[in-house]
Amino acid sequence: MSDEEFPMSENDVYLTQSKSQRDLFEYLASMNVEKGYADDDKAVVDAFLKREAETSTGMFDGIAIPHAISPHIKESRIMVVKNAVPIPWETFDDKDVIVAIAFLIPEQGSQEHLSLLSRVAEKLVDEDNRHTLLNLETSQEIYHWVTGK
Amino acid sequence: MTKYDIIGATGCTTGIAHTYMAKKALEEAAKEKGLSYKFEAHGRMGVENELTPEEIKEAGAVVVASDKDVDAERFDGKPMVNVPVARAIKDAGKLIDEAMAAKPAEKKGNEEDYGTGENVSDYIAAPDSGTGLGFTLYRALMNGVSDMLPFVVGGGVLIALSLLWGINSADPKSAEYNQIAFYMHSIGTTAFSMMVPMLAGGIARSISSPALVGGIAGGLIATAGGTGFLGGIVAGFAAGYIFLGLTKLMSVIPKNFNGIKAIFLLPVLGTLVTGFLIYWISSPMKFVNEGMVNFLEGFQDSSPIVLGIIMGCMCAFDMGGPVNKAASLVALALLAKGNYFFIAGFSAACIAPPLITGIATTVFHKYYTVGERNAGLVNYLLGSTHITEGAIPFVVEDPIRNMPIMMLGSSIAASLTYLFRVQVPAPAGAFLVLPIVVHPFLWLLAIFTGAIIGGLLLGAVRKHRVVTGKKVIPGYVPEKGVAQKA
Repeated sequence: MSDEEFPMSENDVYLTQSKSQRDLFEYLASMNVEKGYADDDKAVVDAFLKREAETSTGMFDGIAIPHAISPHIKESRIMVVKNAVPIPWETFDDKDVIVAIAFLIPEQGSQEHLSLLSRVAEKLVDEDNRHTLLNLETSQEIYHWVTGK
Repeated sequence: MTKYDIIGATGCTTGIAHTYMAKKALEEAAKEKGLSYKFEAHGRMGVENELTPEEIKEAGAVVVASDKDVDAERFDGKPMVNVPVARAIKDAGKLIDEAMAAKPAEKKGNEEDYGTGENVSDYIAAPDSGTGLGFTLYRALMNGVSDMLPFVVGGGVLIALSLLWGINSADPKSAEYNQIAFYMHSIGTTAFSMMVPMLAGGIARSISSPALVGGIAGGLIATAGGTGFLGGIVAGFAAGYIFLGLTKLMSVIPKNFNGIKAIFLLPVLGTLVTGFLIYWISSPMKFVNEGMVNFLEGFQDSSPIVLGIIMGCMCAFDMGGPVNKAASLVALALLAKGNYFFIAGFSAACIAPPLITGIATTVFHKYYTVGERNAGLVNYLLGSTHITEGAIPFVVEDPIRNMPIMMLGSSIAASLTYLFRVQVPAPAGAFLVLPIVVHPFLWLLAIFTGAIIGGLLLGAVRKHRVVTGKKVIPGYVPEKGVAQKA
């Protein structure tokens, strides 16, 4: 990875107990607002749901990459959620989702980290990478997987 | 240049995740199959890893995996699959197999974009696709040419046919006068005189559709001002951009007035501004013309070769514009004084350009559109009757390359005419006055030598552009070996 500061910290990994997609988005949105990445949690939830309504962001092996674009998001950011139980989600292989790598994208302004988000998405194409991610337990391990640090 | 087995484009609405996952998945799958590949990503930050027209042309097959417009028309004519972006992430390998097994997609929009030659307007092929200013200008020129061509052909052929009754048959004072010839000649002349205004109008409306009126008016003013077709091109572009600019300026006027803007303000103001500009630009044409007359008179006693080169360049440069007119004035003045040599070279230089286009479209026919081939055939007739303007559409199509070729061909024809000491005792009768020409066969030899050299060059340049993909001809399929070398 480059020296560019990665739009993520170890504190952006959450081990959650959400029961549904909406639950998960609401949790993420409230965290965003708490940490100052966004200024309106309802708007962020709507942005996530709007993207899912276009086409599902569910991938393979219980991984999804929800993303939100909103004027209420102030900086691009990656947040990862590992849920205790599989969440119903439309995916390529019909497996419910355990790990969600969420991208927060400002509607305008700083776009500097966007290519890093794309590199993370590319990683998920590789089956071995996906299996590694699913087997990680701690926030620290997950953080290292995403950032490559 | 690398020749890729498989190429493609990916895109999704957000342009962050799926676009790149699809690209990566396709790359991995292609790698696994041992194929050479290049995939373009249409992301939020723009297009990455963009494919060039040459790469597309050379590529084996295409996968388009996108939820948004990625200009898939570029790939028309290639074996292709076009699917939502998610499919490429899900089964990229299968998609590549499907693409490589696919039949080449029909060239959609073929008739609209390039023409089949069956429609009146399909005279000149448009380029396959493109963006940017260069493409806009090129498309405008092509549009002007296709609007102009029927006037050149219709008017030109009527004039040429009227001359068959005798070169003065349309003149009521002449003993040759014939009423049918008179009507054919005046109808032909009327249509022909609209040639430059139509060129200007076609260019103008391609840039901004309401600008047709400004283009036509500007073109008529340019014609009256003696600027020739080069002035028409200027008038067309001026009108197009003036109307475009005025439309932008008028966007500050409230929407309630949209009706009045479109049917009143724009045509009035746009035509006024364009007209004034063209008047202003055409005013020095008189001086250009006078200056060229003096210049040419100074050379009338030079060596045959020098005089021929000057004559050839003047006649083929603007074909009916101030420079060509100057040559015509001097030639007619000297003819009146009994100098039959000077006008022979002038005629040769004016006859050569249409013949050049005829020879180019005959010898290199598969690199020209059906419309161009027909225009080339008509140009044998127009050339034989001293109607130089028949060559204009072929020059406008690619002026930088084609104008010098016309000048070279005309120069050779004129120089040889002077060297052979041919005498033509009549103005602008071309091959119809052959019986009274002194050394008629040498004159034909001179003219055709220039026309054949010019024609072969013109055709070779066109062939090169077609083979290298710079010019698209409907129905032309590049031969593999040739295309690879290019």
